[in-house]
Amino acid sequence: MLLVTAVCLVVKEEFPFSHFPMYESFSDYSFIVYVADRDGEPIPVQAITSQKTSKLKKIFNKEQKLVRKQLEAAGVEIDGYQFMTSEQRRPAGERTLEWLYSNSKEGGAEQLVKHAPLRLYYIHLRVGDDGFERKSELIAEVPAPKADGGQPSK
Amino acid sequence: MISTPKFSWRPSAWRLQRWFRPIHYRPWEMLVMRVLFAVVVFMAFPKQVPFAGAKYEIGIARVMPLGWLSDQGTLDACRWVLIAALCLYASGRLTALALPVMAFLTIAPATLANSQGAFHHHLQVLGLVVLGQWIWFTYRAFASKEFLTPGHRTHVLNVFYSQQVIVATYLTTAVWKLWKTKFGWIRESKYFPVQLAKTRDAHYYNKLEHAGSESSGWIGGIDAWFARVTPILESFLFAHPNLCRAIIGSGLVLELFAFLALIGRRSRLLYGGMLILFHLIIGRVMNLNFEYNIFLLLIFFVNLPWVGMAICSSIKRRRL
Repeated sequence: MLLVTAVCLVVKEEFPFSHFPMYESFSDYSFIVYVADRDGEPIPVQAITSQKTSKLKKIFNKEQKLVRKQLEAAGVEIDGYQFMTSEQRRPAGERTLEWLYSNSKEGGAEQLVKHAPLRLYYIHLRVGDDGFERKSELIAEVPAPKADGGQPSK
Repeated sequence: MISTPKFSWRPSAWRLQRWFRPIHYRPWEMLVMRVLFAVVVFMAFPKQVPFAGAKYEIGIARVMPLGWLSDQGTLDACRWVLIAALCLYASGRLTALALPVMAFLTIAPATLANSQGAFHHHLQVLGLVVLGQWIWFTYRAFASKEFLTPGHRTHVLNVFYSQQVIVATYLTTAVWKLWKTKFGWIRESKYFPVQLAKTRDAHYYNKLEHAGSESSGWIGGIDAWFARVTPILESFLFAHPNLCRAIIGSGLVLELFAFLALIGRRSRLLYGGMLILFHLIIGRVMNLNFEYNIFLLLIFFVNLPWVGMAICSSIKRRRL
């Protein structure tokens, strides 16, 4: 038991090992992302693609970390993820939408194309004086991929 | 006259082994456990793999490509191989041959799903238990020449080690939370309502439906009730941070002391039941479902056939 615990804590995320970091810490700030159609109207992303908003958020988070590293390597100072600008977040948002186009359930990609260009919105959720404050911002807009399977044209 | 035992550095002398010891299950109990475990492994095998390949390789995806699993024909063929391995495993024979197949076909699709840049944690416990069983039966096959028919003691210890692996996952998450927050997790947990609000919003954007509105039947009724209660709970916990800390902190305590489940049969039943309740509440309130944890707790801790037998014999005794 102790051996498995020690291995999980050291190895971290290497399936089937994990350090199970769900709700590892709490703060007065959080965010979610959601997918919208060309008019900015949210689409039921799980029903269309089988991918949940929570998974998209995790993928966006991973991409956002990479973007932040690149920016910091280029000498840009960023205090925290919540202070990144929409412009700084855009590459992460674009990669998340590109991933969604190519990782949907059968028939999902065709349905997504009908809503294209897809938009990714970011909702800031923070504790204010009178409860929760929500602020939404557009992060990225990505057209449908080309029929030959190529990357979406910018 | 009873002599006082002297302290010794030898682990065998520590009295812990008196407390945390394997249960001598009857052969039929372990047969039921193996059959149920085989069913759970089968349920975890995906019907479809919607991932063309690994974007950020983890685990075995670092050493071998797993994109071939997205081919439906290959996946269906793998399912038949898995069924054959599960039948062998459930029979209790040639387990050292069946378990590598079971382990690979449990771990490979889940590794591919977790190699997309987003980690999900509902299948790790199953992967770890299968991996642990594989190591144990392989060791016994070589060390005790029990390749064809593992003995009773091997099966008893297999259950014990599986229980320890399950407990280890709870201990890991509790230790990590304390380590990450420098022991301030309970203090910080007053912000838990932020997570409740986030979960509610994320759930809405999945299907553009509010939580609980899409379900039907009695489970749907429970979902709808939790959906009504969650915003009230959110505001209540937000207004009472210390109460919030006490409620959320109790979950951490439950995880941290999960090893107490290994004391005896009743302790396994009681603690397993509490952990199942813990998962059911989190599943409804946070939309964070750990159904495989629940299945494994039901099989290896609650041990439903034994509960049924105990109730039946109790009724018989009262009638006599």
